[in-house]
Formats: sequence, structure tokens, C-alpha cells
Amino acid sequence: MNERLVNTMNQIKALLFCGIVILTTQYINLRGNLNVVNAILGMLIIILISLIALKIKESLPIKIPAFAWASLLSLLLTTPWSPVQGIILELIKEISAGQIGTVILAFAGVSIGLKLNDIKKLSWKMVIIAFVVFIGTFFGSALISHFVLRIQGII
Amino acid sequence: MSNDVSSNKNDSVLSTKNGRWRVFLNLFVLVGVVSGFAELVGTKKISLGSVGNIILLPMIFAMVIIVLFTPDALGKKIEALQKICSEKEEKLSEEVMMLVLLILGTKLGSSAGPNIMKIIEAGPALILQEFGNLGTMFLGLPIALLLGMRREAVGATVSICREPSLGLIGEVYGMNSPEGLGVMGTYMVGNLFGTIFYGILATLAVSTGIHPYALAMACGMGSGSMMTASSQALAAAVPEMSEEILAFAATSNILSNIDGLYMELFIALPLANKLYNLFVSRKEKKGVAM
Repeated sequence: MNERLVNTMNQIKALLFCGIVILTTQYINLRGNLNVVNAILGMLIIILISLIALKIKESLPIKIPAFAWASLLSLLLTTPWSPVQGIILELIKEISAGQIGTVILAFAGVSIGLKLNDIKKLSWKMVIIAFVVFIGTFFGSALISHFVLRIQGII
Repeated sequence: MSNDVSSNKNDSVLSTKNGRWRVFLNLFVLVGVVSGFAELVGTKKISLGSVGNIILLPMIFAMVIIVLFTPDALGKKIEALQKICSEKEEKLSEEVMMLVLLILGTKLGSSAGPNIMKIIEAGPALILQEFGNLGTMFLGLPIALLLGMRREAVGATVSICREPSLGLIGEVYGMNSPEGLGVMGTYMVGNLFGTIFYGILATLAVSTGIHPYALAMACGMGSGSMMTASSQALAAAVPEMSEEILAFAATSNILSNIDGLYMELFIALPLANKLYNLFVSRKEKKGVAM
């Protein structure tokens, strides 16, 4: 076993754990009305795509996050021209983005714990400036899209 | 062999050797229980009258509740909690979050794929709105200067300051420079409050009259958790368009991920410096005139 293989096995193991937690959360969200077999198969497909995305990121020199590769890969696999579109959508639809989000933010919450002491270091000015920065990017993008979509007649 | 493994940083965090199974178990059970509980609480809607509605999704509850379990929160007072959630679990959590984000990225890609024709049609908007990310400095830089910042303002407002920005500013100016302090400030505020802030902003923005498609594109700003919170909240606020909202948010986020670092290096940072020089010299001229 070389180091790279051990690393990959650890990633698979952690992804499988994540899958179990997400499926449980999904099950609770639907109060048990979940097609469990399809949901498990759907999760396995998602995990496989995620893993391929990780490997693409690890083997390419350009700085594009694995997140983008994962989205791009599954976007291509689910376009109408993809031969596997039907089966992937059928299985993946059992898992909703909202519940994945719940699990992500739970993990985010635990890791924020490491940074809680930063609150003391922050001045109120810094908080205001950061919020203005967040508003700036959001409405900057929103206004441009709104304008362009309007010109195109899409909205 | 086990020595080789622990020499790799990522590897030792994700490894289950040397009794680390307990850390895994603690973290995943804690996250599972809190996520499940948050889903049972469900979505809450707070009406602010004419300003609009705030929609609080289970994910926001999950995050706030689980922070309480960390060592620097309730763990300080209740020592037993530290057995479930210590610094080890927190470090593992940071690493695992990147993996769950991949799962989300995959899911979101699959909501974009079937809508590919709509996305291609909206391509010009999707590409051009990337330049909206420069809104950080157009709005933020003058305000930072007014509040008394100087070179810190360039770092703090060059972008939403996620990890890649820390690396970039660190390389160009050094982390101990004023610019480094600025980027670190926005980064820390983003860590602590960014997700909740965007979750609330996205739903309030619906009442501005900006079309939900455009707001959806704005949700893809390049941070996984911020994009999740904002796009999900927006989708919950405008349920009849939720499919398109998720598709546009996902595509916009893919674009931000691809161009983010390069755009910041070649466009955002030079522009922030230009703006800085413009504002500061103009301010000083005014000062002399008065």
C-alpha cells in the first residue's frame, strides 16, 4: 500500500460516513417517506463522482477547487445528451440539496468552534466593513444579471 | 508505514488509526443527531412586514445549535462535553466539510444539467455577473476609508476574502502587512457570521424587485457554505422557481470557483489599488482645500 492509496481509502471512508449522516437527515426530513434503496444507490453515485472530482483536482496543476469539478462533472452527466442522465437523476433525486446543506452547516458549526475566540479580536468596524463587502458582491452580481437578463428578454 | 501516513497532514486528520475511530464516531454522531433535530424543528418564517420575510432553514438551526457544543462555548462550563467535542473533532470537521461540499457540488450539478438549455440561454448574464464580485470594493472601500482604515481597506474589500484570497494577499503583501490584516478581518467575520448573513440577505433581497433568477446567480459567490445558505433560503422563499434558482446558483458558483483566483489577481487587486489611490488622494486634496 502506498501513501496515495491510503489517502484515497481514507477519503472514501469519510465520504461514506458523510453519506450515512446525510441519508439519516433526509430520512428524518421526510419523516420516513424515503425510497431507501434508491437513496443509497443515489448516494453511492454522488460519492463516486465526488471522488473522481477529488482525483482530478489532485492531478491537475491549475488551481480550481474540487467542488467545481464535482459540479461540472455531474452537470455534464445529467445533460439531455448524456446516456446516463435518466438513471442518475432518478436515483439522485431522492437526496435533496437542503438536507446536504444541513449537514454541511453542522460540520461548519463544529469547525467555527476553533475560531470562536476570534470574536474578541474583531472590532465593530471590521464587522460593518465585512457586511458591506458581502452586500457589495451580492448586489453587484444581482444587478448585472438582472440587467442582462432583462436586455435578453429572459425575464 | 504508519509513520509515513501521519507525516501527511490531510492523511493524519482523516486517518482512523491510533484510536482515532472515537474522534470519527463522536463527530459523525454529534452532527447526525443535531442535523436530525434541526430537521424536526423545520423551516421557520419570520415576517418583517413590508421589508419582507426572513426564512430560517434547518441548516441555520443546525449550525447555531452545534456551535454550542464546541469547547470554547458550553464546553468551557460543562467538562463532559469536551469528551464528545474537543479540538480533535473540530479539526476533523474542517477536513470533512470539504468532502460534504463535494457531495453538495455533485447534487447541484445534477440540478443544473437538465436545465442546460436555460443556462446556455442565460450565459451572457452568468458570465457578466462575475464582474459584480467587484462590488465588494466599490461599496466597501469608501466605507472602510471613512471608518479610518488605510491600506487595510485594500485587503478587506478586495473580495469576500475566503481561503484562496488569504493565500493570494499573503503572497503579494505578506500576512503581517496592513493588507494582510484587512483580508484576515473580513475572513474572520465571514467564518463567524457569513453563512447566516447571506441566508438572511437572500430572502430579504426578494422584496427589492430584483428577479429571483438574478438573485440566484448572485448566490454563487465562490464560498460553498455561503452559497448553500443563500441559494437554499432563496429557493424556499420563491418555491415555484426553486429548480431554476438552484441551477443558476450552482452554475454561477462553478464559474466563480474557476475564475475566482485569477480574477482576483489580475483584476480585483489592481482595481482595488487604483480605487484606493483615487479616494485617498481626493480626500487629501479636499482636506487641503478646506
